[in-house]
Amino acid sequence: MQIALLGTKKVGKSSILKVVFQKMSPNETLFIDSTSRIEEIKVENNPYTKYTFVDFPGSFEVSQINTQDRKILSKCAMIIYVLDAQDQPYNKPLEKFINIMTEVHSFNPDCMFEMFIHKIDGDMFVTEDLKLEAQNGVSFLLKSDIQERKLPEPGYFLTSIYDLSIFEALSKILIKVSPQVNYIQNMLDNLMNYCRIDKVYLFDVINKLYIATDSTPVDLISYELCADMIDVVIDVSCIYGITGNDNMTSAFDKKSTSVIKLDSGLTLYLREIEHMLALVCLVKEDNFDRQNLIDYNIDIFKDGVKQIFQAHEKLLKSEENKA
Amino acid sequence: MEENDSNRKVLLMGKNGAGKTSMRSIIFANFLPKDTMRLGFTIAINESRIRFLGTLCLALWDCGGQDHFMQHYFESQRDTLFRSVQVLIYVFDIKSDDQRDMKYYKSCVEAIKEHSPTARIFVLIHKMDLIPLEKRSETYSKKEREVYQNSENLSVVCFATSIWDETLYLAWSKIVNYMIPNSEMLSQSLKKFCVACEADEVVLFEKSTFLVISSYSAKEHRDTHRFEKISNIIKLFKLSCSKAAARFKSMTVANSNFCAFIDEFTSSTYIMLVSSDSSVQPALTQMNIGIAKKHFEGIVKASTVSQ
Repeated sequence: MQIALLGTKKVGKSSILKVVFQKMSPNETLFIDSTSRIEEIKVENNPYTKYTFVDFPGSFEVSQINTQDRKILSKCAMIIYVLDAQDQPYNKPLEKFINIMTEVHSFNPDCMFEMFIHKIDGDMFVTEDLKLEAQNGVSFLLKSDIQERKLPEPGYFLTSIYDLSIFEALSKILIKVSPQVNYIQNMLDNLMNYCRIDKVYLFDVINKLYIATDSTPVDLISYELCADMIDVVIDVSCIYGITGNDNMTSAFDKKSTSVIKLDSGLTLYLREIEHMLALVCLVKEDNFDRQNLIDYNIDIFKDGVKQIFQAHEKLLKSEENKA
Repeated sequence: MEENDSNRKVLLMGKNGAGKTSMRSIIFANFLPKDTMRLGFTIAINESRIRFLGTLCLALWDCGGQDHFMQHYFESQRDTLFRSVQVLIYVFDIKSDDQRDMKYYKSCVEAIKEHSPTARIFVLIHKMDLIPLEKRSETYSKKEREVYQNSENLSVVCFATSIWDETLYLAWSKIVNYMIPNSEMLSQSLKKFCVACEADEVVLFEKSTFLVISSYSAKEHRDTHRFEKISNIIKLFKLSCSKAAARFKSMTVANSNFCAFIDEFTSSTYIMLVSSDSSVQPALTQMNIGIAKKHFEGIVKASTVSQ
């Protein structure tokens, strides 16, 4: 699954990839060099999900597209256009976006488009209203061109590398390009109902994006709490759970589990589902009295997830053979 | 400002910008390391009363390090400042090569020798994160030697610290432990408890700071810095919970090699119990912790009373 990142210079495309996938601290991204050529980042942390992010240099102009660029873009399932929200006015970058959409849609009609209204932090965007205003402004500016040229409507995300909003946005877009996740979402909804769980996420333990979640809305606070819980589990497991010179990936093993109880009556329950994949549930303490039942249901869920991804693999292979 | 026996007077000194206020904000006031960037300089002396382990009271005198304040300390305020001190903590910014720094330190040591000769001196060689990894050991040793040379033959304990990792917790755990009159009683009791639970190790943390009070290890472990790492990990998680308007009560983490329980223990402590023996039933361990709580409440209280 290939996803391209495009945008004008210095909007933050490479920084996003480095912070989310290469554990760079947001402050350090101020010092990275501009991207001069196309760079690929492969994400294959667990046996179920494989993505390649293609980082285009900011100097890329769709009018000067060459055969190699065209080849890459024709294989992309999605294009993320990154807009620097602090760099107003937006006319030029939005014009570039429309041109990219027009060109790519002509040779890759199935490609989805998402817009990250990025750097939505700092003094300019202190309140939620200001953030929404930026989003409304952008979608308004794009409306007429999209309708005229009969382009697909892009999704909009308000993002920043300084909080979890970029992680949430990437989680959501990866779910969009993975149709098999709908089945997992249904299973998670079932799990929630049978076990009286309030919210559940299937996390990639390494980059802390969620592969799937139930159909209730995601709130950043519960997401952040779960991501922090994963940090605690990994850190403590790295101290006490590994023998000899093993590294982090062996600290999180088949029997990894954790229960955290908060005084608000909320309990966080983590269980390993597959290599580097964790299920994190938020349950009310009273509903956590029958842990065995929850474990039994999670085991069934585990099998279900495996079957879905295996079926998906088979489907992809047969499509490849046909092509 | 009372200076009787039950108020342990701790002087926190060092040149301005060394990081004194940042440190104490992280350890005692629940600041995140990145929050300390918005702290301004300390004006004159900031005295805070810190309740520790329930009954112990620390009077922490954070002395602003700007030059004109420093002058006053050694001249007009000399006896009020340096009298009845239990602990002097001097903080050096490892990146600063200001010669006056060592001179101020020497003046502090002299004043302590004169007015509080029984005080213990701890030196924190701070901001070590700003030194490249490969140069750290060498730079630290050099500074440490210089400190010993200027310490007027008094015994001084040095630590390398940074607010960005667990080294801060190690230094402050040791400093605070020095002030617990009877910590030996605690470690003996923890040993008995550890053996009774057939655990690998048992660690006692102070409730709000998560500094290590005492510990007992039945089994050797390759990471000698693990306790302060746990302090750091849990403290950061505690702060994260407060964003969700909740406080963490207890935690279990396990994989196929170990099981760790972290739970509220006495009114002023948390306990961590680690076991790698898979035959030990978790429910039994939790029951044991519950039974031991009442017993330890008395022991913790007793350890804070001078003999």
